[in-house]
Amino acid sequence: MHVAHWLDDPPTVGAILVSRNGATWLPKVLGSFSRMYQAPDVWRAVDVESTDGSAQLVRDSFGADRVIRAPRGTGFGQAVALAVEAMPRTDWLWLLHDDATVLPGTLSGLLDVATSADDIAVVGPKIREWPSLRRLVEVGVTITGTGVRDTGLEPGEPDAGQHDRPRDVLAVNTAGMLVRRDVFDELGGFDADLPMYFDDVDLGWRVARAGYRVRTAPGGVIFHAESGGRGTRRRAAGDLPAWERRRAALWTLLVNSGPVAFWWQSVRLFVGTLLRCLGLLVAKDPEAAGDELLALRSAYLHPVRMFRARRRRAATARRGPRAVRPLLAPWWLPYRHGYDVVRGAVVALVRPEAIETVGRRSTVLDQAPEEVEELDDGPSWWRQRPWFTTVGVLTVLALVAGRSLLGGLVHGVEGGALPRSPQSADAWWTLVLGGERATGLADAVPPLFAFPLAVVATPVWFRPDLVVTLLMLLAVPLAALTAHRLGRLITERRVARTIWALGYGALVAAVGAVPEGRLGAVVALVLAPVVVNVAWQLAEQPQWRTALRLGLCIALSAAFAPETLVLSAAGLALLWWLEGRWVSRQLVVAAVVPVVLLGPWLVARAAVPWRWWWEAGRPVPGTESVLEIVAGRAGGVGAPWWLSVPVVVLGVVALVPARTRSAVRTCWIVGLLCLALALVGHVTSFSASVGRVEISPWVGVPAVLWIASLGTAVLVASPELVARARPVATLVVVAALVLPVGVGVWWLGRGASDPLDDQAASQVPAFLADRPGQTLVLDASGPDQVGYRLVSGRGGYLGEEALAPSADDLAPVTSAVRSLLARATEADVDALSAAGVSAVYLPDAASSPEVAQRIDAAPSLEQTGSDRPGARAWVFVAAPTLDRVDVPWWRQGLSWAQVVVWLVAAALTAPVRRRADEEDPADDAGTDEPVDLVAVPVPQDSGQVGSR
Amino acid sequence: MSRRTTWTALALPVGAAALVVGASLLPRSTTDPAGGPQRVDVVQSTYACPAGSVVTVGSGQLEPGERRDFRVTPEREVDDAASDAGRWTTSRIAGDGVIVTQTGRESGAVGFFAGVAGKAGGGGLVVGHCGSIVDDAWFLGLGTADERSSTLILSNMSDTPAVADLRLWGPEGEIDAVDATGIALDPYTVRRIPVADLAAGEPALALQVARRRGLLSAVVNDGSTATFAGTEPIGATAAPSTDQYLPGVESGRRGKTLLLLNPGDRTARVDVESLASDGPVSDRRLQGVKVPAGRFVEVDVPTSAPRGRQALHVSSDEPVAASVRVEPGTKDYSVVEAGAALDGPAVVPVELGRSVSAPRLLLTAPGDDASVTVTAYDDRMRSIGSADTAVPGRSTVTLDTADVTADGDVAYLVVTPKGRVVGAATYADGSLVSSLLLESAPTRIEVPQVVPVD
Repeated sequence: MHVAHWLDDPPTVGAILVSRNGATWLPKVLGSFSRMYQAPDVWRAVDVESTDGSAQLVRDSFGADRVIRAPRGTGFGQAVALAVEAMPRTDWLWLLHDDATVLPGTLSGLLDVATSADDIAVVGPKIREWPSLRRLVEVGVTITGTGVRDTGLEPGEPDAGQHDRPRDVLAVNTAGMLVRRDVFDELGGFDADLPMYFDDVDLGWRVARAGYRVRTAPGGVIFHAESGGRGTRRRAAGDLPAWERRRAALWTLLVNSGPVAFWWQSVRLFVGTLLRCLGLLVAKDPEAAGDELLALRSAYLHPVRMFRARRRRAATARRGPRAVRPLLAPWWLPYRHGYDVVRGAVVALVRPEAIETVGRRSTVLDQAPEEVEELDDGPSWWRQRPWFTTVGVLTVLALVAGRSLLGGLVHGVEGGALPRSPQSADAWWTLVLGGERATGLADAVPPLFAFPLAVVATPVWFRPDLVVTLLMLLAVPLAALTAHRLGRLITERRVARTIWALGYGALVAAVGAVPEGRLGAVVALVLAPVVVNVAWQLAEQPQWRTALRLGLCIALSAAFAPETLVLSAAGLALLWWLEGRWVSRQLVVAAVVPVVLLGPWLVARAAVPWRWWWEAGRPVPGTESVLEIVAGRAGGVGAPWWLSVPVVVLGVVALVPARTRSAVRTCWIVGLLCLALALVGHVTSFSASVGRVEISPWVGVPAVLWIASLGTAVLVASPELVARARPVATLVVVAALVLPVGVGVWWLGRGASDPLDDQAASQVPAFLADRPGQTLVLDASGPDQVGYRLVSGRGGYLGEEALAPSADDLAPVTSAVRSLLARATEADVDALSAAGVSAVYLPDAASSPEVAQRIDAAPSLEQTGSDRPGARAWVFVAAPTLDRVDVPWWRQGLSWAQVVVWLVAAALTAPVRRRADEEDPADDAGTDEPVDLVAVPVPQDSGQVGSR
Repeated sequence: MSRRTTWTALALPVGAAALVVGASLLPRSTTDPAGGPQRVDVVQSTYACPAGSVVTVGSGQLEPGERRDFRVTPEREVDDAASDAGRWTTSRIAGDGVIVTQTGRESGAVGFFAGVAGKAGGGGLVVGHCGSIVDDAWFLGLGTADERSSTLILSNMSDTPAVADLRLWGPEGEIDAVDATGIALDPYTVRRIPVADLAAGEPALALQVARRRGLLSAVVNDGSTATFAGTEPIGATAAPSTDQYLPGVESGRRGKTLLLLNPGDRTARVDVESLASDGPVSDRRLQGVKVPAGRFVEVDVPTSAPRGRQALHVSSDEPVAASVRVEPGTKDYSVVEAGAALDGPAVVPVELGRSVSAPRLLLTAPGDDASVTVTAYDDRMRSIGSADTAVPGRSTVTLDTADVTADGDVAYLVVTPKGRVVGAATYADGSLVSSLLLESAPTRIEVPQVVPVD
């Protein structure tokens, strides 16, 4: 049976080219029209008040009688309508943009599909990027429930024929769109309410509702420069504002949704737009946020026009909304987009240099469509990015060293100075903002470090322990990472700064902060290079925003390790001394901001003499010697001190070269400040709210920074040192490697655990933890001293230790416990019960039988089973008093204000997004010079012809 | 590099060295050491006394208390006057026992019991302390053969159950007694356990009561109806140690038996020294007395030993527990326990019923010279006389309290030491005797330092 081919009786095609300031592309575009195998029967061109010579180009190509001049502000749909009116009737209309070239077989390919079935009303080509030519731009398009244009393509996806099967889609781009004339007339053409954006989606939607099909024709290929989306088209008077894109998206969704979905969409888009607006404000994109609001206002403040538009669509619809649903984007796609955005943000944060390779190429017209670019993949990625590879290896080593902590990825780590993590991030939020405190906690200033922890833990709401575990596990690579970023400012020498960064990471490992569970020190040491980095930037370019960022970093560090506030103050003074009045105002900002951000926490911890040594977590005393401080250690489980000796020696040697001496001297001064603080900590003591009256500080942070400063001095002087005789240079390199290599071996051998552990070290047996009230846990390990702690549930979580009642507040309990161990009376038991105590637990009763015997003699206590041999437990006969502590309203308000201040500070210091400078349209009248082409990221929405 | 520049560059390392040297010279900050034990006021005292128709319970204190509550088992009413915590009271209460709880800061509440046992019980004079809480009590000189009987009286003085474990030793070693562990007492109950139920037919026994839980007191009532008859409440002697004093050994050539228990697993060699009125005297036959491991032995004090009133100083190379049984005649005997030196005033009861007369105090200074002040009080806690007595070091003095009790109705005496003193009171009624170890009234108690920890 013979099947008629369209070539037997070719349908008539009327081509419409819309141009507006497209002189940059038109020569190529017009040239491509002349090489088509199957040419349109009729041509019409519409020029929308071009000022760059486009009109002349079009006239020269088509003849003046085929060119229609449209006034400024004419949308694509209106321009097409003008052309349709002025051209003889044809079977098909072919819509063309002035920045899209065609191949000789483009129209043939479109007609192949268009004539394959009677119900096909719209056909779209495969659109590839111009000029890269390989990358796909669109092969059909749809819209998500949140109004995002979705092509179904990965960013930069190359064309390998994977989309070469024709398929039904919701819509196709107007660039190269082939539409049946009768259907076009039946539907009334493009919606006049969508002059620039989403007109194609709207048309496709109406076509589908009318019972026709929109189909892709991959056999037809066009190359689209997307000049509007990329901002490469010269702006002109009459251009629509930026918010029009979002308004068009809202409009398209609202006017085409079914009757039921309309109401749901109305609410969803309204709320969603407000949330987007909020998110954009937080992301420092106020212009985009304003666009969202303007779009919302424009779309929702014209209900009559909207209902008329819906009525028009209802009049042409032959199929229900359900029939279109398969053509719409799946419901989860917006969330996928959100994930992509977050991923992009993280990539930008971690590797900002990578952004350049993620975006598409600029649209410089240096290549013809025929000149296909073959990209060279270059060497393998790990050779391209040696530091990235180093961090990867360091991360693996960190996981090996933390082999005993890997279980913490499942249920958290605790031990040493680190209490357990809460069950959910809500606990940290409550700690910071809550109106009441659990039984046993004091009405004290909440620990400020709980706020950043809460923020970071919020995405993993039920696994806040994951944040702490990852911080502890990856402390060394993180420290090396931040140090390396600072190293980029210090030296161009990659090897030197790599060794230096590894050395800094090694110092963090060597000081034993991780195994001792000193989270505050870990965070402070990871942040220290960031603080110096920002301070450096401030010295180079004094800006208030940089000063604010510096203050924010200092405050964040001081929240975890308050002693860094002292160091920072000294550092700012040093900066002032070095830079003078050049930065004085900014330094004042940098000094004031931490004070404001720390707020009451400053009074409670950071500004209390010597108590600033109490870092996040329990105040576990330090045991360092002077020698260990000199070597950057703090006693405890630190690496051998002598591994740091080469750094000290090299630090002295670094003073020799005259060329770098000035910078080296600065490093030495910073180091001396750190050393002095560490030594001050060595001879002083502080008192926590409870526990020992005098606690020897743990001086790991300043001790590490002292050696790190010497290491920096060596890094600064390294070009001079290695430029000397080869044996000297070799000696310097070998000496510099002693610390990272030696500590690395020690670190891998010893591991990063003990006393930090990945096993839950519950302070009380489960059966006591489940009881209401607190458990009085007695520690009778000392010969003449019994320590006690009040444990709620399984025990306090990280942050609650800062809210432990003071020794004065606990005086009644202390007295009652004392009596309990002497001759207990009912009154003593009642006093404990009034304090919320419901049980007594003696974990080591075997070694303190007298204590157990005395508790045995207390009235109204019943002995109960214990969880392990040698432990004893008693429960109170009477129910305990479970009073919760109400936080005063003013303090709660202060906490909220503090959080707001932090958010504002963070928002103000974040980089501000601004659109590329837009020329005043009034200025470009009569100018025919082509504009410079600027590479900007291309949004998903390709926009419209003339601006698209 | 110019000389000036060199010096400038060197100033930084030199400054660092100076800092280090300076810090090395300063004392290292230290985490505060653990505080030592501290003494806390006693605000409530509880003690348990055996009760019965022939037993008089005396209750008193150093300072007036706030309240005194009697709980009799089985439940009985007690005369309201006895509840006056500002007086010395005596009462005869029918029942198994009485538990007294007295409140009042540093009141020093104490209780005693006294009486003369019936013939079936040995017919001897009984004067004893009402027992306070025991953690680990050692009783020596019990017996369940040869017409002797011993009864362990356990009292649970709290509202929660109490549990005790018992161990017994005889001359042949530790006795594997049946049902000796996990002896439970309901709240506020008294349980009398015949030792014969645990170890029958043993002429000489030592008993350890270990409180496992609860507020428990223990005392042993020992009696004999044999030729050498008598009755004695045996109080807890000091826990096994290598150096201890047994004050209050009455005079006489015969009838003194040293009771020694070695609960350890190595043979102990015991030396006994007499601290008599004229100083320390040693008898060679009481030197190097072997007490095999895990054995309870009775050693007759030889007639060659000092005869006068004295205290025995028992020292050994292994921890032993020691007591002395004194049998001045055939009608009664007493048991002298080892005790600690007084660290505060001790109350000596006088008014304990018609059968008890004023006691004789035997005071010994184990170390340097010491002295005591004995003050007599009537039942309204009014002082009615006092006497000071010097106690030469390492010797024993006898104080006849008749001098200080002659002026009125003395209810009790308060012995206030100056220096290190151990002592006992000997009560006599004709040929009936009883010995009471002097113990400091509970006003303050030593407890470990208690501190909240993070």
